[in-house]
Amino acid sequence: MKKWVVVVFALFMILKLNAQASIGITVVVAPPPGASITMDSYIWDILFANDGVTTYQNDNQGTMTIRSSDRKNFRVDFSSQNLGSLKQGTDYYVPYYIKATRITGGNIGLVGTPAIVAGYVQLTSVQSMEFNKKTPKEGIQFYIGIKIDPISGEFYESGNYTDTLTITFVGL
Amino acid sequence: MKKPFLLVLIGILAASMAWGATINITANVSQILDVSVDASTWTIPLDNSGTAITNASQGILTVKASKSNYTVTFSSTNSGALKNGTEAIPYKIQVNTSAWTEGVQTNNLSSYTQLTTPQTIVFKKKTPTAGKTFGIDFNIEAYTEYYVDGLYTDTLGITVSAP
Repeated sequence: MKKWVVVVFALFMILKLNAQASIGITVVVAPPPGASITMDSYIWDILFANDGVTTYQNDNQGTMTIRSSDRKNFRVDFSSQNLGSLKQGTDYYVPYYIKATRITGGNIGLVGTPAIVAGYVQLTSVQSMEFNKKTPKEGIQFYIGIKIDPISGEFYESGNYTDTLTITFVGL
Repeated sequence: MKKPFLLVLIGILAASMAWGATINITANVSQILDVSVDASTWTIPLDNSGTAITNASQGILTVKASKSNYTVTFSSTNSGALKNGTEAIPYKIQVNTSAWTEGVQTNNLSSYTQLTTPQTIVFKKKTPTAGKTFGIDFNIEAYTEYYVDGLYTDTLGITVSAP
């Protein structure tokens, strides 16, 4: 039985003994101890030249740290609110592409070579990385890159485009 | 079911689900608004014969825009006249946008017009990155009296703006 299940069960038993006490509940709903995904920055501001020629590409746009705690098998999912496009209003879209590049060396338990590691992918659907080894306490790190291609010979409608990129830790 | 038990159950379910990070991405796509002409000086001989001068494509205007709505404005320093001191020769221009009707909302210079006041062409489509080109036609109407000989000048201003 996993450690966090034991902890939850123990807390459940405590609460059961004193059903009027609710003080322990917030502790119970906490995620498994230590499992997390953190970024060095949660806001990415990008200036796109919009000259019909220049690609925006930053392979190190952000640094992601994954801590699995005692989870051996887990998955990291990448999803986009606008299915891989930055959006301005209701009519204008700029497709973008994401890539994960491992920083941490050695055997990190990454299963195979997911598409998002092999190259830049548009998040028209969820892209995943699966792991079969728990991370060290300090976690493992990946660069997250972003790329926006020009449309040859055309301008994008100028203005501010936004999207929300969600990276999710899923215990297996 | 007792409330604490229910909350613990919710906690167990939450604990078996997912956690992660959310990143807000904002891309500022640069605005391109530019007008240029093939020649910044037009030298037009007037032989004082009374015959009208009509020069199709006296100049070529190139417009580049990354916006769907923008306006190109034409104005004249001397309100549509070439001047030599107090002497004046009225002239007219027109801009031929017939090759890009789908991109033009309103062309107030579709026929020969004297720029006594600024005139506009309102566009409704962004251009390719190479821009769109339009001929600027020039006209001095036929006349029955001689103009005083000499050099007559004016400055034609062309600007582009977007809301």
